[in-house]
Amino acid sequence: MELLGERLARGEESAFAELYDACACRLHRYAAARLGSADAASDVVQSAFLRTVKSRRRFASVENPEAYLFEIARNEIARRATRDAQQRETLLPAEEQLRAADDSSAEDAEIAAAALARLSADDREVVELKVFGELTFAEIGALLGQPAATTATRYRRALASLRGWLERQLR
Amino acid sequence: MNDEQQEHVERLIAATFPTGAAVGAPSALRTAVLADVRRELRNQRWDRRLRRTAAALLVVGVGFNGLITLGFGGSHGPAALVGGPDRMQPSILATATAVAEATDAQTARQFARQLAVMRGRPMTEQDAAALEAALAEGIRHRNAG
Repeated sequence: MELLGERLARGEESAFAELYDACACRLHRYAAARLGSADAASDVVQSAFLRTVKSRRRFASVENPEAYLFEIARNEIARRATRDAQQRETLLPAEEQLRAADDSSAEDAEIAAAALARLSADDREVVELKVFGELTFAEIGALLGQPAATTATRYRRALASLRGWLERQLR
Repeated sequence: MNDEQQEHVERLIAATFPTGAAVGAPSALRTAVLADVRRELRNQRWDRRLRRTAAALLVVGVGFNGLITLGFGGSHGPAALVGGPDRMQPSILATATAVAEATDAQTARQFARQLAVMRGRPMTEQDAAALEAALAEGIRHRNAG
């Protein structure tokens, strides 16, 4: 059976639909978590797919089309974040845009969001790619240019750090 | 940190997802994205066709200019283009062969037919046979490398 990458490179429309169904939800969640907005996430997903069509011939040499799509989306998110930072005088971190509800779960979410903000940008990105993007450590490692083992260690260390801080806050 | 504790932290992190945002891509997004994909793929196909057509027109134009140059030289004047020699001019055959090399045999045949008409002398069966022989010769040369 022909590989998905080869079909994408050839410009087969059904291949792009397959790619969408395979990972658009996770991609959207990851983008929404990074940008703090579902609308912005939708824009990112749409832009990422358009870019993949324009550079579709590269899929012929790509082993993992989903991870490649995440890479394109990641670059798009970075572009948007830079553009938004330049346009706004005060940039609120995504987690501060959450609105507090009356229930305690929303309060825990706010505390967790604040904990995330304490991580380094690199550690935070690994956590978001794993939790929201549901990528494997190998895929995250390929995306970030580091070994899977390093990514896994970084993730566990970040979570351990978050857990410690969260325990203190939630007492 | 054991697995249970890790899962607990992961659940808390997952709960930081923007309030009110759908968990996953909305269904309307799929329609919009695949429409974009379809449009872009169609544009790329059109671009390829335009490039091929432009290349063919360029070759035909160069070939036609070459023909005019050859036809208007020396003792051959414009009159030679009207009611010309009984057989197809070698210059037309040579140019048609060049067109076939750049595009394909079908384009070369159309080119030769149109030129013959413009000369005021549509192709005869003899002309068509000469053209096919020239095209076949050209193919043999190409295949021989």
